[in-house]
Amino acid sequence: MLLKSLTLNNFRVYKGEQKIVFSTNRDKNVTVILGKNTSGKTTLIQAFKWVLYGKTDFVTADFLLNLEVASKLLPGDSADMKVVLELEHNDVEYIVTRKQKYLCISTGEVKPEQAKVIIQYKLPNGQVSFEKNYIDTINKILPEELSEYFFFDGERIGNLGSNNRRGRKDIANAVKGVLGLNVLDTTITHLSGGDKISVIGKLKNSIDTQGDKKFEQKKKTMEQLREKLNKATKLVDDFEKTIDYYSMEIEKKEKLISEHRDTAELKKEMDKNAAEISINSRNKEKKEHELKKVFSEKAPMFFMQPLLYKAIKMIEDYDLVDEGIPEMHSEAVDFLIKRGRCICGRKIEIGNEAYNNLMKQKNYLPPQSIGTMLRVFMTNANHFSNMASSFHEEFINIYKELRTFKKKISDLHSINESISDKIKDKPNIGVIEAKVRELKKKLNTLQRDREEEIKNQAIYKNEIDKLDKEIKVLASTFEKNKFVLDCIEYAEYILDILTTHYNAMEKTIRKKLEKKVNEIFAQMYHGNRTIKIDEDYIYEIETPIIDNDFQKKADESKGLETVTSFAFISGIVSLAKAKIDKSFGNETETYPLVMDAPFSNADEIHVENISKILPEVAEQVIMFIMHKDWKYAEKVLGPKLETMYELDKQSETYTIIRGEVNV
Amino acid sequence: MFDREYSFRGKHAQYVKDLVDKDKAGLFNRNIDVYILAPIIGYLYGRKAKEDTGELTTKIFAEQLHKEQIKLKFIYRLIMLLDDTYELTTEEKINRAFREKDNIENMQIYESYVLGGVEYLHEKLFDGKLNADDYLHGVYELVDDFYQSLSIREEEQDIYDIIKKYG
Repeated sequence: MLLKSLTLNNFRVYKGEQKIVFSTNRDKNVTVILGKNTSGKTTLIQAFKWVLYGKTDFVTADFLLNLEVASKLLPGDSADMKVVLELEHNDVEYIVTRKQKYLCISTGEVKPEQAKVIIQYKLPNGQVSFEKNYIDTINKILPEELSEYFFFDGERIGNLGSNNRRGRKDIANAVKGVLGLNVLDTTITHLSGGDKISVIGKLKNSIDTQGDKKFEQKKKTMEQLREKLNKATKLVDDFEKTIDYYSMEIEKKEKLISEHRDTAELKKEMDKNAAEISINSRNKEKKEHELKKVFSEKAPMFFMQPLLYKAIKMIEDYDLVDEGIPEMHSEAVDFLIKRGRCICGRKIEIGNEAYNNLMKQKNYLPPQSIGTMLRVFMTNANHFSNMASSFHEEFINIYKELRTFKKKISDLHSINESISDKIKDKPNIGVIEAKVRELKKKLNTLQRDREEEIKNQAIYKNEIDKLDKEIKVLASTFEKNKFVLDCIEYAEYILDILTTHYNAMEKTIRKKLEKKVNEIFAQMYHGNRTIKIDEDYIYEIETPIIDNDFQKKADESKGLETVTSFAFISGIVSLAKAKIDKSFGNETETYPLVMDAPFSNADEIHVENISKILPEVAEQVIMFIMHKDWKYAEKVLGPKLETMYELDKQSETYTIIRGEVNV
Repeated sequence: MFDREYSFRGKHAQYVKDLVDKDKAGLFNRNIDVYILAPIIGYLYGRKAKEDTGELTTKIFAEQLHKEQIKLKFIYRLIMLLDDTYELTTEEKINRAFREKDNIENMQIYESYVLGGVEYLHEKLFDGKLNADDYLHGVYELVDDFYQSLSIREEEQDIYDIIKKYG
């Protein structure tokens, strides 16, 4: 099958008629449709599904008409929505048209009518004919259950590589689908699936206890055990779902962290600097206080020095050395002046020599004597002078320390400013790392809980087996139960044969898948590693020679995961192709591989590696990708590219497919 | 002397607040620290000022003044010994410094140096300064400029000898 063109008419965001013609050239087998997020890439994948099988994965799967068209409809108006797919299969050209009429009813509500599908085909002689049995025809071209192995959305591509539950189920289903063992599967379920509705279950329930109390008790215990087992199974299932969710979240966040490792380092440096700034600021503040204290206390003495010098000199020059007469008081002088005659007999008159000498003498006598005061003054001068002598050095030292802290702070601030410029608009890795730690803790608890429940499951199963045997023994004592027991034995025998056969076939296909996956893997990944898939479809990448502890470390690369997922896609595509070939005998038939956002989780190098492989896996590759990914893919896929389109989003409800670009 | 509450008034009150308040320059811990330094600065840089009559006041409590009496009286005597407002003889200056107590006129001279000193400090330490670093740098400059101009260092020994004679 080769896809030739897809025409959309009022399908979701594709208003009006818009067409994409795919490259069918064997050498240039790649068609690229560039589009930003939410521009309608996924809608294109859904359009294939809808036109071929009448199904979509949209939440509003029953309303696919373009909303702008729908909103303009008046009661009584109608609008057509249509998807047309042209394809070539077995040298016959088919045109598959699925259309749906939408009618605006009297309340203004727009309601879809039943969709109609028409298949036309062109015979080699050019004659066009209608195919009546469209379901059969389409299933011969591409069976619905296998179609999903040719159409991949981005999330599925991610799941396939990450060993998670959905990915494992996807691979398991692919194997099952390819096995074509659905009938066998149904039979097995019919025989043993469920305690109440399966053949074996019903038979066991019909065992007659004949009113035996002990027997009845055992049957009752059995029922309780089965209920416990069902509960445990459901719990394990729930735990697995949650574990998957947490694992994916951790993975996404770790990817973000590793992408921004530099940012994280810078942020750490910034935090360290901030801490240092705060220490230095505290120290600077301390020094400021010290400086102010020293200044307040000692500056007066420091500035006082020239005054002190001048004053002391003045006192010294005036020669105020105490010349007082011992034990004499100035009152004695006053007495003599009043008397008018000195003790030596000389006359004392105001203004004469004796008077002046006596007045001068008063200066040296109490209370006018300032000898004591001068002594106090000089003592203080001495004290203040001492205080001043250490001030300058002390002050300058504190100021220098202050400047050192100030410079450190300013240097750290400018470093942090430049870091801040570098990391602005980048995510806060510290917060994300904390979240990852929290998630990992939760994950650990969940895993422990799951293990616990798995243990319980085993215990219940064991008890059930034991009780089953006991019940059978008890039942056989009653003639009435003999027939039922025989039936159970037959049913279990058949079940055993079917299961063994099923498992053997599954193993074969799984090995085939593993082989194919490894072939592709070897081409994309240059190294000695191989992929092993176990019975639960959990894959492991084995590195020879390295022991187990290091094995885990070697597996941590995320790029490897993307490569692995593409190896799985390739493997699945090849299984599906083989199945169709076998069923319909078209061994030379070609198949497309349609992928939405295939590179969204891959880095530059892996985008290139994968791009090399894809055109070889399928005869036709159609990719919906973002511009940034195309930048890397172009180097490799460029020569293989024939047509390229661009999705031009006009609004949430309208996207234009910009014309075909020939490369 | 120095035993009653003292108030700076008007612009001088504002200047003192600028120098002391934590949300301004905050360079002095208390008003009294300005009051102690200001007369020395006033005399040193030849700055005297009259009391401003503005309404704003900021106080120094009597208790604080009392505690700093020794320092204040010492500075007062220095100023009285050195001031040349009235062309006094050395003897008269000594009398003014040591014998004349509670002389209003003398006190006015002293306070004019206090206010002149406050103005000078405000000019050097507050005007045109923007932040804490500027204020501290102002102090540094005031101290260092003075230190560079100090000639007393060589004569220090003389003074010590004189002081010792009285000690």
